Amino acid sequence: MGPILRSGIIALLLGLAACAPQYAVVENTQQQIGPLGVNPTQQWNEVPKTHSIGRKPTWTVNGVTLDSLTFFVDVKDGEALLSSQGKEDKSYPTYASDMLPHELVEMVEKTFAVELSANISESGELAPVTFGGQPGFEFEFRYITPDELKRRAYVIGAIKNETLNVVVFQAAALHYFDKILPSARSMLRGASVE
Amino acid sequence: MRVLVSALLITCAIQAHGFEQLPSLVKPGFAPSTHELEGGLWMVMANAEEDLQRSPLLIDRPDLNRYLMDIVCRLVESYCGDIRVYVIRTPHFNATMAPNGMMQIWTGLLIRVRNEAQLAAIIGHEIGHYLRRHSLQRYEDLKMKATFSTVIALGLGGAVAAGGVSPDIANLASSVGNFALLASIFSYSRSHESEADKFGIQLLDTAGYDVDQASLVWGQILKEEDSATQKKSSGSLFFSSHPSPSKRLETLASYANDLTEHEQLHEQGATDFAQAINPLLFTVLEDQLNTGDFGRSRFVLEQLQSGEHDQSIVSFFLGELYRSRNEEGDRDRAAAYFRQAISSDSPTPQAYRALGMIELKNKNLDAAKARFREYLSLQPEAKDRKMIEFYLEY
Amino acid sequence: MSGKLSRLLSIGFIGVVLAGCAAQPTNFSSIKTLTPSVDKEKTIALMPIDVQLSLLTASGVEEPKAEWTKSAEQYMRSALKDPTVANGINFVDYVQPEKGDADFDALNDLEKLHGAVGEAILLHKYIVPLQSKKDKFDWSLGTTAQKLKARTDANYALFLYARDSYSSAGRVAVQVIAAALTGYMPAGGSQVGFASLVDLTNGDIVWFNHLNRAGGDLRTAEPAKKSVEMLLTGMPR
Repeated sequence: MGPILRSGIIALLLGLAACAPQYAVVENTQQQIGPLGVNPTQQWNEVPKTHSIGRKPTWTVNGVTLDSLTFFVDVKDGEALLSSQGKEDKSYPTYASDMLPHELVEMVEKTFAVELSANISESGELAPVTFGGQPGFEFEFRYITPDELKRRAYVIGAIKNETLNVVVFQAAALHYFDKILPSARSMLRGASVE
Repeated sequence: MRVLVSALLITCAIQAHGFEQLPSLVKPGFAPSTHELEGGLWMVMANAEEDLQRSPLLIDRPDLNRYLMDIVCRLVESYCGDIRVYVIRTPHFNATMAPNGMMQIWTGLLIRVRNEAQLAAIIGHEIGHYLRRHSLQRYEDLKMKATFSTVIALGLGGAVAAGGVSPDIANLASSVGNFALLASIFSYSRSHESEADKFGIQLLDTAGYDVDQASLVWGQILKEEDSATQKKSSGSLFFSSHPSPSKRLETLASYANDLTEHEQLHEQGATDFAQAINPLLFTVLEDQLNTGDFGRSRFVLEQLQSGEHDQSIVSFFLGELYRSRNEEGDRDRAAAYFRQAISSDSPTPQAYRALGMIELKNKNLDAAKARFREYLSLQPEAKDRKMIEFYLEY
Repeated sequence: MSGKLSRLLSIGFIGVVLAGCAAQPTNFSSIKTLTPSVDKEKTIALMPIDVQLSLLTASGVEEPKAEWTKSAEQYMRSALKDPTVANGINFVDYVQPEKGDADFDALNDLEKLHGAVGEAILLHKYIVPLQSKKDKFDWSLGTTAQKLKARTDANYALFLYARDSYSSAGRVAVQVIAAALTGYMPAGGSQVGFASLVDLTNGDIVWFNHLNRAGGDLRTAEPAKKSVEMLLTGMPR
């Protein structure tokens, strides 16, 4: 029995009854996420920590069931993208600084598969790119969450001084991914890394 | 009078074997009235089935479905038209039966049973739930027992994670939701499970399958649990509600013992089975590795090594398993498996790439490049072509 | 698993949660009037109505009722076609494509996307606002919606979702006892639902409404019509 999206939302709503967290607007000025600096070119909202994957900094345009942009910054050798603390039934793949781009792809995909009980349906284009002044990689993959919505993800990242910074943009494959990708991608390709 | 006598004779014959046959409680072609509770359950399941037919997680392979339906029809010919089998892309060991005859088999099960007889044992078990009308009994039972825990649990709250809802939360929500209905469909009581086991093995016997295979399934599951990295799999709603696998193994083995006094064909069907599974083996194993459970994945792959499955794919994923674990010596282990994979008559192209990556890490640039070129020549349309070309410029 | 099943599971929750949101507006729209087709007719494709009726038993378990559900679906459909409700709008039935149809995947995906968009709207318009959309209502299904237009000749599509539960006699007794013991009164049967209108030229959700009340009855024609009227409150005409 897989997860049930609608019930999940309702559970969330109940959790919110007392103190609703806010989805504040992300200003269209330079934003600093750890070592990563980006200049948003469209209206994002900041997702409250309790609603984001592994409490990582996350933004959304249309709401978390439709699209999101998650920053995994300062990942050190031997660490996973997500902490498995309190989630003993989950084991996330860990990062090693000698990983090849193909292995980083695999790590990101596997992390999503484990965290969301998602099926990775297709690995897309993988290509070299400059990210924050470093030789990096960008790739796409498609996955299906148990709510049966087809989703697509765009990932960009690079290793600097053995530390990994990677950003994942995901959205419903229909309409939302194509609509937001160009602005998300150009923002991320222009990111600076301290 | 003659009827009575022959009835007595049957009883005697059965007692001689110590195995009492369970009768079916459903007539072929049965459909409940929409006025009754059972009609309500069927309606819910008919809706669910409609959704299922449109699900992207449904494996749409007519030849595989025909193969599975052939097994159903061989087990219960007269109910063949009342049962529909769906294969769902989920990397855990499970099969379910809904009250209306909709059977779901998860892909994770298909790589865990070793031959057609084992698969038929599971299918027979699920058919047992249907023919003994367990979901209806289960639902009525739960309706009596349900308490205010549902209401209390509402206060727990939860969180949504971007990119799809975090399964923990959704599971929490579903477990406190209309639990009884869910449970009525997906987890039968222990006594129902035992009864379905018995029904399953009796079908296996009449259809001429090797009845010993039924208990062997549970032996395998026990061993897998022992080798699991994460003992409580997220897919194991299973173990909470079912009789323990060791108990089932024991009972099924004793049934088999009683039944083998019959003179039967006792078929295992390993070849047909492997041929039916091979077309989806790559995807299913990829999903298995994506669960991140090293121990389970290794167990499953090593078990497949002794099957008649496509061994190039099996070796490739064994290599992937060690390469991604990346502990002391794993790189060499992985390389050995990848070499096995490419020595096959129809090598898995990805094994060349994987070998290239290992050579690259071992700083054997020329060897790495040769492997990458072989990969690209086998997969000229590869989506990672640009990155591979980048490696080639190293 | 199945979308319909999961929706069924959450009915109780929706009732509890949305009950606390009375102060908020119930419907949102981005247009004032409908654009008629070339032949001057205002046509709306009626998507499969997602409705389910159940009996709330003493223990709080919902028992799905096939017979009730069947008639509720019929009552809701005929209510929509009733001249006093339709009020000049021509509602046409949409038939889901069969497997093998060239649009099978696209239209299935579109219905699933509508589910996710509906959730986003429920979440971010009624419960936790997205600051950037505070004064906007601009969710969309995108241009795949044009495939629906091509199949139905309608300019718009209407999605209706309703869950209705009724208290059994045993349930009423339990409610009284529970209230006495805990001071908390478990919900005793309720009607929840939502409606959304999609512009098929661009896929935009042009109007959205939700319904949540303790009463109502979809089991009989007249009250069912009343519920449909309430669901359609504020719909651009």
